[in-house]
Amino acid sequence: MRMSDLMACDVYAADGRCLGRVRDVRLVMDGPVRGSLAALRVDALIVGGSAFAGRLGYLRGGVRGPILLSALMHRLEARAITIEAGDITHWDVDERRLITAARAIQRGDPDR
Amino acid sequence: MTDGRVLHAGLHVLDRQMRDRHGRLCGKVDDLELERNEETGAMYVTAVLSGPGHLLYRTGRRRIGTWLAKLTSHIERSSLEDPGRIPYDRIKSVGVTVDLAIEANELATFAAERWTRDHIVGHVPGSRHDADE
Amino acid sequence: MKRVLGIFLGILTAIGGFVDMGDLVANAAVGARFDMNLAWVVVVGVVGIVVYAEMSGRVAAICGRPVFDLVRERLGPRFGLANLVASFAINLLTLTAEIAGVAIALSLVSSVNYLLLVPFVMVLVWLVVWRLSFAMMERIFGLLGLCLLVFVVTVWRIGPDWSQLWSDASSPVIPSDENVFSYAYYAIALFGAAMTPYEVFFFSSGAVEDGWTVKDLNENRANVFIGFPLGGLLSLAIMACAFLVLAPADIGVDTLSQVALPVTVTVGKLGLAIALIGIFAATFGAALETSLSAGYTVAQYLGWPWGKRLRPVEASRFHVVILMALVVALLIAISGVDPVKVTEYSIVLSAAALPLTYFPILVIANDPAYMGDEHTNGRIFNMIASVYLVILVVVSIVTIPLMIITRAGS
Repeated sequence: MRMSDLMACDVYAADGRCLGRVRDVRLVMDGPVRGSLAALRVDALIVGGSAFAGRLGYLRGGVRGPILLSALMHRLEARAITIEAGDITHWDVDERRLITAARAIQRGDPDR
Repeated sequence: MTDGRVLHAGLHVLDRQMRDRHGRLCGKVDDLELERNEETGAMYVTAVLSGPGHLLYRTGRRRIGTWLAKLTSHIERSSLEDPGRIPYDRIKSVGVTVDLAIEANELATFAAERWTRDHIVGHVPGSRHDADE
Repeated sequence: MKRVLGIFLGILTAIGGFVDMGDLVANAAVGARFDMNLAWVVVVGVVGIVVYAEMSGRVAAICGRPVFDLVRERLGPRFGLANLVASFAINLLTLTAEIAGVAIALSLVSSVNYLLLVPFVMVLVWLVVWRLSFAMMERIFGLLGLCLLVFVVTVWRIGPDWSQLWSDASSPVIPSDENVFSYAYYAIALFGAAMTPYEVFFFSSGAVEDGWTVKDLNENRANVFIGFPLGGLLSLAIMACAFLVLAPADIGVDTLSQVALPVTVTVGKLGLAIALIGIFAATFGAALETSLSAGYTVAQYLGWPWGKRLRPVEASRFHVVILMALVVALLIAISGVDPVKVTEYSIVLSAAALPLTYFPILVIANDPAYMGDEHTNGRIFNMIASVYLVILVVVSIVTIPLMIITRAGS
């Protein structure tokens, strides 16, 4: 499976509601060491919101200004939610469907 | 290094410039390969994919991308089985650039560079020298 | 002492290298047609390029990454590709205009039809890109470009009523025989001539080529804050010459020779010779920059090795792209298209495409992960930079409609 396949998937709640498309994937470098680095583990999915705004780095990358752009980007990303990888019950990547059992859906990204 | 660093694929890894072990530019991270560990259920990044075929796949042209990637999948004298696929253990660091532990000429992206060099640029006088002064 | 000399040379190079075919044509055409009523646009454009170049130079010096590398990273491969295609196409148009400009300057000296000189110019440009070092190339053509100071001398010699000139320029009106649409169209053309995108691709890639680090930031700022505005003054001098000499005689600017006419009339043959050297240097230098930019944009998007600092065999695809761009420019130029028209299209479209590359630079200049905490944009700088982002987006939106309404300025 590829990252681009994963980022083309839509995520659904257990009740069938579509929560949005996977826009980014949070990785944590805490796996067993392979070569020089610890393995990168898929930790959570950022779902919904604007891929464009996310990629620019205003929310998760620490970009700070200018104020106008910053405010605009936060607005665009406001609808993004974070879903822990462990909460995904069905990884149907071929059908581009992921189903999550998560009940408490967090808004925004807790990192920054 | 188990520093527990947090990265976001789209923000910190994809489309990053790669450098080989000598610091030479050798393409960009066009896609990442993921594998699921069946016992623990955890999903890990197992390789970096780089090359025009992989870039096309990522931007939606799946069939052409896969075909193109297969086309450039054989390079002599490469330590990699698939020169478009850099296994995770050959990555030295992930930062402003993604630094690799291998040589640029082991990569599929370098095949076109080598062809251009051997068939076009190499024949032009002065191509092997630094510009004057 | 050596450091001061270096900075001084850098500033001189920036002044002489500021003007290109677009500035020559636009400033003269506007001066002849609109008097000094669009002079304020040059000022706005110069402040814009100062902001833009300072940011890209700073980004390149601190994180060693040039514009197009970052464009793909921040905008993603799809937007980045659209950006690349648009920028490359406009760059190609600009390259064509510059090569035609060099050929015309040479034809004015040699009385050979400029079309015959175009292939010669193309080969010369390629040779210089191939063999002359980056630093040498910048210096020589930048310093020779200072010959354009003859336009300033010309204005001085004419001895206009300075207070009248100042009041004309500082209280602009739309001339009675023009309408608001053509005024706006030429404002955009002037703006695009001052804030050329290739300037920034070249500038930021050049910073990496020259190996700039944090220590060079002040020198970068000197070049940009002093050199560019003085270069802008050269542009205004060209406009003033056209206003003072061509406008009263009702001469429009359709050819490059008319740009230099005020100098001939006022200073004589010697003045013309110096002006032609300056025009040659300005357009040749710009041809070098745009052909290198063709290579920089493609190579940086795809991650190929790039740069004049590498031996050609180490950056083969980069050099092949440059050669191909030169060949295409040659073919377009030789097909007999009006070089002044090509120049106009290139600057107007450049203006429309500015947000594409300005926006990612603005974002990165605010990213502490790349710039370190001390080198991100300051609050005031950010305010000015944001204002310009709005200006660029507005310009971008109105350009094509204006082009259609005014039928490209006729």
